[in-house]
Amino acid sequence: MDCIFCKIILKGLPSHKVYEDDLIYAFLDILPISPGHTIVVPKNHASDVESVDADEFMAMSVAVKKIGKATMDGLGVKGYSVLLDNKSAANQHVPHVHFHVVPREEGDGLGRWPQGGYSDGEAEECLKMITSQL
Amino acid sequence: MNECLFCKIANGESPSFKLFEDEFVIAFLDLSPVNYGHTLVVPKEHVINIDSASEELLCTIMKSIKKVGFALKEGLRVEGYNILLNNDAVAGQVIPHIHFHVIPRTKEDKLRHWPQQRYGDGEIEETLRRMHSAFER
Repeated sequence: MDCIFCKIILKGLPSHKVYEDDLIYAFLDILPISPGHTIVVPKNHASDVESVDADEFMAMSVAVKKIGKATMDGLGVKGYSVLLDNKSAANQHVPHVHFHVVPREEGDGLGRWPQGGYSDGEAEECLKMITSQL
Repeated sequence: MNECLFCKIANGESPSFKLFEDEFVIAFLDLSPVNYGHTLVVPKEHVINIDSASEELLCTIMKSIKKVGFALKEGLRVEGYNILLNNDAVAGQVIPHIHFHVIPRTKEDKLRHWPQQRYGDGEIEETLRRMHSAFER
């Protein structure tokens, strides 16, 4: 077992546990984007959104909600960002699917990624390519 | 009169580049995309944020996100995607109707994570204590 998250969950590798239920384990990221930054993972190993069991993926979102509330109530922040990086191209570093819950504050300097636009006909073309798979 | 843009898109009053919709959810292209194919997944019911969304609704949204992510990967031939929810204004939520961003990603794009920090001595324990106390309330 090479997965660091599985080692935390199954082998007792030390972690700062925030939350646990039957399906989910959540712990503080030790290199946080902001204090309280929490990683939320399914206990069963699944590398990405495509391979995680549907019920466990849903359970992850329910846990995110609970942890988000604890973040706001416990740390006194007024909001948080929820982020999942699916596959290494999307900056996923540990191949065990996980949500980040990142507490946010006014002026924290965490900017948005730059946004662009579509030129004439481009959005229609893009939509056609995507909906061909739905 | 409901002034919410996403409610208007959901009920067909405002046009959108719609990927799909079902009884509960609608997904459409963000017209100021971070990357080509950037999609918003929105419940039709006007719910401001995750705190006011029922667990059932959240689970329904998750199913749609998975479907959208698959279609983005296959349709646009991208290698991955980010799922992002900005919950409340302080987190950058502009439209107060809950929406998940699904952003197609390629190895070549220059999008990077927010920078990470380190906790000082004892800070991580104190943070954890405060979060645990909130669970107990």
